[in-house]
Amino acid sequence: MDHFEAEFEDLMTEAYGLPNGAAKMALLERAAELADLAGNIEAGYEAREEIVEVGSFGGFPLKAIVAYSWQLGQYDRNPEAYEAHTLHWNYKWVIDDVPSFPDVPAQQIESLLEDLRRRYREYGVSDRTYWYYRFRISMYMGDLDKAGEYLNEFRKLKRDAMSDCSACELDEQVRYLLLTGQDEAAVKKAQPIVKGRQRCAHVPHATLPFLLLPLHRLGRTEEADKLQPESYKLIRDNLTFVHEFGEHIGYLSIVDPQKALPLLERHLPQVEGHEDPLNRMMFYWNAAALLQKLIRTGETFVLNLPPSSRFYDLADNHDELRHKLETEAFAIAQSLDTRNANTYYTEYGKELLKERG
Amino acid sequence: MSDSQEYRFQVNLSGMIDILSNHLYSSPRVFLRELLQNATDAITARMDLDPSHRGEVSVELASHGADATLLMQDNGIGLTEEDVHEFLAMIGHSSKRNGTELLGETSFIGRFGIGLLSCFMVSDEIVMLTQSASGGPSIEWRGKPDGTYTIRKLETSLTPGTKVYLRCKPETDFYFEAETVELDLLHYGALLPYPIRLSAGGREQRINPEVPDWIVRPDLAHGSPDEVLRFGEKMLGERFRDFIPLRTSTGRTGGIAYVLPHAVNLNANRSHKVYLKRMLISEQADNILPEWAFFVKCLIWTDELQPTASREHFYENEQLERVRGELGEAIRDALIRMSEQDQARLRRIVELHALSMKNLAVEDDAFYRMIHRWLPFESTYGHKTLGELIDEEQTLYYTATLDHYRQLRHVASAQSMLVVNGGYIYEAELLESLTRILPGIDVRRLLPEDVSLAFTDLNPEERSATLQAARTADLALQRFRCRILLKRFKPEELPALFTLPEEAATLRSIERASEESPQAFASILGSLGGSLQGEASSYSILYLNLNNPVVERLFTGRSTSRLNTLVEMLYANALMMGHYPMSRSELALMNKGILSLIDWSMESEKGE
Repeated sequence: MDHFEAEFEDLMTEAYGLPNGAAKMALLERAAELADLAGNIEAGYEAREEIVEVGSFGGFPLKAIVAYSWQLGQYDRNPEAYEAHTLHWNYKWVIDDVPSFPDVPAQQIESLLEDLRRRYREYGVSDRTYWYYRFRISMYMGDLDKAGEYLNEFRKLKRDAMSDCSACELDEQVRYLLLTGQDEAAVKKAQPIVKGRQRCAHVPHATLPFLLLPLHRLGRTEEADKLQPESYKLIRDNLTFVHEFGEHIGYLSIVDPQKALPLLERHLPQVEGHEDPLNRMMFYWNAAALLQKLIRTGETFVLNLPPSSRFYDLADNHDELRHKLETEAFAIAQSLDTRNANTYYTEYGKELLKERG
Repeated sequence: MSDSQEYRFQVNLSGMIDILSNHLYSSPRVFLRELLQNATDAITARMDLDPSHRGEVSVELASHGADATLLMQDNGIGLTEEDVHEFLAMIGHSSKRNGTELLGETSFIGRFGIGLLSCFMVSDEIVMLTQSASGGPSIEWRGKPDGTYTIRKLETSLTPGTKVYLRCKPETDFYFEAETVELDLLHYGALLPYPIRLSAGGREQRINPEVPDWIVRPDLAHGSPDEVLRFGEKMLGERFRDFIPLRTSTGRTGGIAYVLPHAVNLNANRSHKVYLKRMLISEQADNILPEWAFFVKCLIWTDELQPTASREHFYENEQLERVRGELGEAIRDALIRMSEQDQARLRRIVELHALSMKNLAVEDDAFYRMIHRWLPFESTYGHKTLGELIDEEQTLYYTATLDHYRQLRHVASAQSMLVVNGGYIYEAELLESLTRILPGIDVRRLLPEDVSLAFTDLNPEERSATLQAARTADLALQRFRCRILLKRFKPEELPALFTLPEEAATLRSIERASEESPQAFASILGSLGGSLQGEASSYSILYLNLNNPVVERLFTGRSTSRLNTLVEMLYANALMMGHYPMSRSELALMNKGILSLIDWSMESEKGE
């Protein structure tokens, strides 16, 4: 047993020293396995709490969902043994990622939201966070009308212990304005984020990439040009920002396609193995748009992909690669739309290719 | 400065002091830095007029405890009466007019006033005597924290320069103690090019050493390495063994990067000492070097970066980005030179800081190309550097995870395959991109299922002899979505090898979590797992080794009704050998199996 504890502690210590990413995840998973092998539930819980965080903020949403489910089960069996605040707090991260997976039916997402509401009420906080996540999830599921309604419900209530930080809340409201086509209002609302007055671990990283094209569309091209490298530097080493990588590629595809190629080379091999289908889809579309643009304008270019990439064989066959990326993205869109009972993502993809390709 | 503004905001000075002390500066201690900065600026200004002037700063401490006083004197340019009015006016201005410049890059006079104000953090009265080098009467200024002040022309004429007297206010006498003042003066002023003297308790001493040439011209540092290392120990508190001189192309930033004598945590704070115009600005400047440079601790001076309002950090702007890039470049170039000229030295550094080097190599092909031969790896041929492994001229297999490596290590060693453990932090990524920097090298990722490539298939006779038993065994493991394959492989002591393709591994973890989860989540895990289940790759594989005598007897000997239980036991055993945590049903299986074994062995005893 002592041997287990020493090895477990070593792994955890080493993991704490690493940035959120694959290396950290590998150590934590190993730690959780060791704990399971030793039958040590507390240690397993501790490791999984980290897995949930790294998964949510380092690009492994599926691993986060799996680890969190296990944690919640242990908590329900023995609520006194674990720290309730962190567990309740982390529920938000996990529920936020579930709609990305088309295999999860809408009804199950609905049940999960109600489960969160029940647990939060029992924990003694208001429905504010519940409405906020309904708002977010409706956006992800392509129901912007509903999202607007939930946003109003959410705004009626006062902040409490489970509220996201104000930077994150602002970021989501900016997103809503962007998705509903209100570029100017969105850019204005985002000012505190752009200026650095509102920030956290996730903001402005997740906000700025989505402002590039709106700024460009508003004719504020200089601002967009200046923002692009700054914004990219914030996210480039974190695989949680797959969609954001795509936004950068999409933006560059319009203003300076050659500049987008290194991004594509760097990120495509990472993204193809990424767990999150929705974000993968967004990346593929932007990648396809870039290739389409380059092919259409007749620019000569080369693409250097590593042999381990699924797309290695297509590195020199640009049009086929474009076609493959597009097809895979639309296949994901189709399955998301089927689950969501709308045509939102399929339309979204077509629009995106039209604008950026 | 002529002032066209008609109205001025009245500033509540005590409010301003409160802002300075509680929000801007990290500690009241900085008053000494501010005074020293004022003295330095004044001396610099005087030397602009008269290059032959030799600057000097002296500090005197008198009395103890609640009566302690501090006098700082410089022989700088001094202030005229007009200057004094001007800085008071500057303080009186709304900070809006000059934006952030109020505390950033303002004129000498403006900054002077702000610096002086910081003294109210430790003193309830400031007395300043000053004589301008450009003539005019000597001036006495007395200020109080409530904003009232008096100005008086003195009848006698002082020598040019400025003296500031402070009397400690209650509970700040700590800042007036000789040891504190001595430490802080050295701390802030170590690189100042003129003497700072401290007299206290009847003793006078020079605080800062002569500034060595190689600080100003780091290219000279290699000429006196021992001195450089000693200086580093004195300034940074660690005993170093190696250093790299730093300099930007403008020549306006430079210093010494000391190689840390111990490994460092990737997330650890980097605390370089940075001097702006020869004055210490920060001990926590973490943004002056690229993130990857965590194996060095630096002494850096610069006069091209802009400090933040508190003068404790630098603004993150293009200038800083360029400087950071160039300093990083200097470290890189030094390593490249070592790889050409002094490999033993490079090897020592790499061994100590392998982790950060690997991190850098992952992000930077050029660096990787340069350093790759010295990076250490764990392999079936032992702990070796990548260069040594390449020199083996074998196919270089690597595993993507630590678990794969552990599973395959024994099997691979037995067949003399060269397998590198890629599951440790950055290894897999590095090995994957090795072809990019060394075209033509034979590197392949090894999956557990690939090991079977080296396994021998059964011959037709063996196949038919084992067919019946193999089918039964396969059926027994069907509910665990595991197939069995009979092969011959080394080492023969190994009866079975369990391999788990990635998708099967995901599915396995989903199922184990699902057993433990509340309803709402269990159904979601069911949906997530469901989509994976249909695919053949979601099956794990149990290789059974016909070279192993027990396995051979089990599959080619007399058929036995106990085959199911025995195969299940082999399965459970292989899981344990591969360090796989088991699901509840697998644990149940093992319990049942062990009980059966006990039962059978007792039966056979009875039979004897």
